[in-house]
Amino acid sequence: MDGENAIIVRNLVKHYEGFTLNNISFEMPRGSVVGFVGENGAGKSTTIKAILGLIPVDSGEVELLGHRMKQDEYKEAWKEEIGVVFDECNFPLSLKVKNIGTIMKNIYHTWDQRKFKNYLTRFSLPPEKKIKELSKGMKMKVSIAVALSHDSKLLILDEATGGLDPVVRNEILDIFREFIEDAEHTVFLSSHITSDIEKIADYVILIHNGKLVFKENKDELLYHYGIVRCTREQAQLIPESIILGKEEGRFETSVLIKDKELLTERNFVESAKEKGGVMPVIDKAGIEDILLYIVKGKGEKQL
Amino acid sequence: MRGLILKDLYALRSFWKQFVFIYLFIACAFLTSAMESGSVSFVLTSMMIYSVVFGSTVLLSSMSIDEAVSFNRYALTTPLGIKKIVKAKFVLLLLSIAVGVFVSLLICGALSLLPAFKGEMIEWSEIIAAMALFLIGDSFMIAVMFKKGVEKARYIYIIIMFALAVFVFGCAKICEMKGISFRILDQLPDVFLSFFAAAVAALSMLMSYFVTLRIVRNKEW
Repeated sequence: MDGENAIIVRNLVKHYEGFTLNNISFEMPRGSVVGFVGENGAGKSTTIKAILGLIPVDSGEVELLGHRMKQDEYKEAWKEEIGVVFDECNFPLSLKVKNIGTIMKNIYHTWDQRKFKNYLTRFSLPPEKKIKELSKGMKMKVSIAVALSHDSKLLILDEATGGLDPVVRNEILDIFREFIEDAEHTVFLSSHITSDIEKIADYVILIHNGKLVFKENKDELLYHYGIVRCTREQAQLIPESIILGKEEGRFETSVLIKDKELLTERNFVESAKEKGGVMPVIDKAGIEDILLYIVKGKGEKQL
Repeated sequence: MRGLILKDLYALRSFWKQFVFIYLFIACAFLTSAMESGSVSFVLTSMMIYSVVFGSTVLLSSMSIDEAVSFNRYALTTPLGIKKIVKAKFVLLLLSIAVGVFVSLLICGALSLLPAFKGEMIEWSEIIAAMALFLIGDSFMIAVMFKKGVEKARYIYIIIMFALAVFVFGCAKICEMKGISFRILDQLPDVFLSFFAAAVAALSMLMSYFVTLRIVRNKEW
């Protein structure tokens, strides 16, 4: 049992025809927000389903809050501490919002009806309305209210903010921020909306074609990663070891690098100027840039 | 599990009016034929069988609602566990049948008080055997429902019921052709036949429960 980590995934493998979740391993410290990014079909949902035991895996191990999924499959009580929100509202559409409280009270021993009612008020969710009468954002808020109204220590969200407008998304991110004010609470957020991840995550895990590309501290990632805009000749001066992706245009070459400082140390800009052409620029790389370079196949290297 | 049953009852709220209407319609149709034939036993048998069909309809509707929103995928992430999720569906089926049986008994009980039907013997063993046959069909259906989804389960249910009818009718026909007499069955006490039918239905349900557990455990949610 590992008290430090909320999620431990070891060598997870799942084969499908035309897709393989390939030996995924990562750890997720308690009290953090981890953003799980990747393009559609990269394997985010498959990984989450495997973590939650919703699909049988070919090999690998998963520990959630210190519980081994395979061993503790039949001891379900620990799931009181996990709140899950999928990309769609999973409650029957004919249910009224208030019915969900009554149902959940009989499912979770740690259900807090007062907390649920408070969330309904806070989210302006009318208890008498049926789920089918709510907008997508409101449905998502119902799911989040449910996930937070029992003794959740770990929130797992699979594309929960996808398809929502920026205002609702921001509101939901605020709730997650509040949730992790308790150092025991952890959020695992899968999304292809990288701006959400950039706003809230402490760590970023990037998955591509079923393979884990990296797991990095977000601040360090944003600090170290960069995009060099220069000519093709100037780009040759960049050490191969730090290049993650390259885009060669007619007039400009853009290179995604993982260590901006190394270029500074090696006086890259001055050396590049000597090669002639325009003055090279080193820009900050956002998560979206990193994702794009790696996903679009421009990346010639991986970590 | 109470939470799951509650969820089904709330979710099926919009169906209850339809169910009651169909039930009353069927009851009226059977009553009319009872008036003509002067037999309350026929009405009771038909209504009891319909109670099992009613149970299947409730179950199919509830599964269809769940399927539309991937409820079971969510339920598997809660402390409920696979066993309770599967058990809840069996309980819903049996509860719905119990309601149907109760209403049938109430109607037929009231009917038997009428002078026209007084003193008629009810063939309980036949009723139980017929219900058992339909329950066997249901037990197949539940496993198929979890494995292949509701839409396929509807068709497979019809095929199973048809196959069971062909099987029973075929056996009877073969016995008749071979000169095998059913008199031996008449000599057996009714209690034995009822018990045997109920036991086969119970066994079929039990097997279906374990098969369904296996299906749910290996299914990709």
